Amino acid sequence: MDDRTIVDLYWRRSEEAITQTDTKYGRYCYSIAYNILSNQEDAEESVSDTYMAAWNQLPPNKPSVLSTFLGRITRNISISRWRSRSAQRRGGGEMTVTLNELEECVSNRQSIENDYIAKEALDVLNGFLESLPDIDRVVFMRRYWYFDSIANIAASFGFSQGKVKSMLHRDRMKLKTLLQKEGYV
Amino acid sequence: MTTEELTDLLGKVKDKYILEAETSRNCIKSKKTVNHRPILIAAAAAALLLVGCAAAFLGLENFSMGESPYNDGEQSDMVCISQGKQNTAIQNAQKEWFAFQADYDPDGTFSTNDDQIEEIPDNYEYNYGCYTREMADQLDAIAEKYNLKLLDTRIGFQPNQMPIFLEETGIHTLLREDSKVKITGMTGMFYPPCNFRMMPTLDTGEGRFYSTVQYNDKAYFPPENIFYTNLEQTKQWAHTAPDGTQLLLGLTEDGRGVILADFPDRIISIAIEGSADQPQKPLTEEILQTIVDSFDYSIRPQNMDHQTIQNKLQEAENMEP
Repeated sequence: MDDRTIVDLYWRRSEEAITQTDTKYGRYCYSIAYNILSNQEDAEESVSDTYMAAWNQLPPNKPSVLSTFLGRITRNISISRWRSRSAQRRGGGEMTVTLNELEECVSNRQSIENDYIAKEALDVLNGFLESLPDIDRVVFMRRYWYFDSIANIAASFGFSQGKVKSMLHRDRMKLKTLLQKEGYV
Repeated sequence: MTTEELTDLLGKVKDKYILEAETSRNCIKSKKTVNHRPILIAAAAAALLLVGCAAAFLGLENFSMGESPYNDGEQSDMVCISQGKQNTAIQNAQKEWFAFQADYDPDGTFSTNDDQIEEIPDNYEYNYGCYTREMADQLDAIAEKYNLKLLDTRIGFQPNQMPIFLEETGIHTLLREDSKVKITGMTGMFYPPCNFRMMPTLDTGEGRFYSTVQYNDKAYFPPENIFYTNLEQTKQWAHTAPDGTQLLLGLTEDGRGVILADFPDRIISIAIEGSADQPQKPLTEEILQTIVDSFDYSIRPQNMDHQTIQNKLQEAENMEP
């Protein structure tokens, strides 16, 4: 079923919307949730919560790209669940490693003060991604948006894990320099 | 900036970067493709495909705009049915707008899921899918060329708000008094001053069916089209409604129906999109005929401005316990 029809089903409050979403995007959402949570039960709950959130947001939203709309929801929900779990000292997994890597890019000494500055910082981040060579950008997004493991990324490109780590390190340093230059770090 | 903030900000980057990485992960069976180039079908050639119709019969071919932009590469033989006949201002304008959109930003470089795009007015974004100033300018140019006005920003109606929609537009009901069909639920959008796209679920007694009813005043650029079909697999026929309105009907092999009531100054399009029951009931010619004769084609929504409707909705919300 095409995305437009699925969105229409949400708009007419048909529960078939959930079934069709699960058929087409269930695996996609689960893979994002599982990468973050490293736990089957938690990942399944996040995917269910994603469908519930989509149900509540459609309408009024009418996303132009349904996959990224759902993916963003899954990512946010799963990260929140991971944070809550970490607060109870049950964190760990790939997410912890990934966050340790990202920590290299920031100071953790100051927070973004308001939404306006956050919007500016997002522009900087989009500019950074645009500036990367295509392969670097995909590798960066797979690691820090989808939280894919180094091993998986390396396997899909035919790279050694060392090469992927090296690319990611180089790009994190570029991002750190840019954020320092723009005053966010 | 903290690690947490950076993680959250990364979650908000542009769609195109997420899609690019998604392709690499290859997790999705069927990914939305951005660049659909419409194949415009010549009406003269398509008309030859009409089966069993008189020479003067104006079939769906006259309303065909070519390949659907929503086919996701899965249904390339589907065509989009316009809100106007061939060589009318509306169909020509829609074709030009389709062609522009198909070639514009093929990689989704400028696309965004932001709720508000500051550089363009809301009606350009929400009604017509513009997401850059350049798109808005092109839409303006096409509208001006064909002397069409743009609709004001759409307003969404939830099922519990439908009485307000029906009362304020003066329509009261979409169905005739003697209708054999009941509406069991409806959502939709109103495009001030007078156009709408409503999505009622129809209970025919033989089964429930999803439908979309679109009303378009021909002075305005229609926001979208509601029916897509393979013309070769669609049975078509002319029909006179109980009130005398001449209708064009279509029934597809996969059980969807279309009703077009084309007046000089307005068009009412109704798409019957499939069964709402489990197990699903097929849409037969007989059921379609029952649905067709249940609609009131004389409806004419009175002009309403955006703010007035918003005020009514707010008023109703305030009165809720």
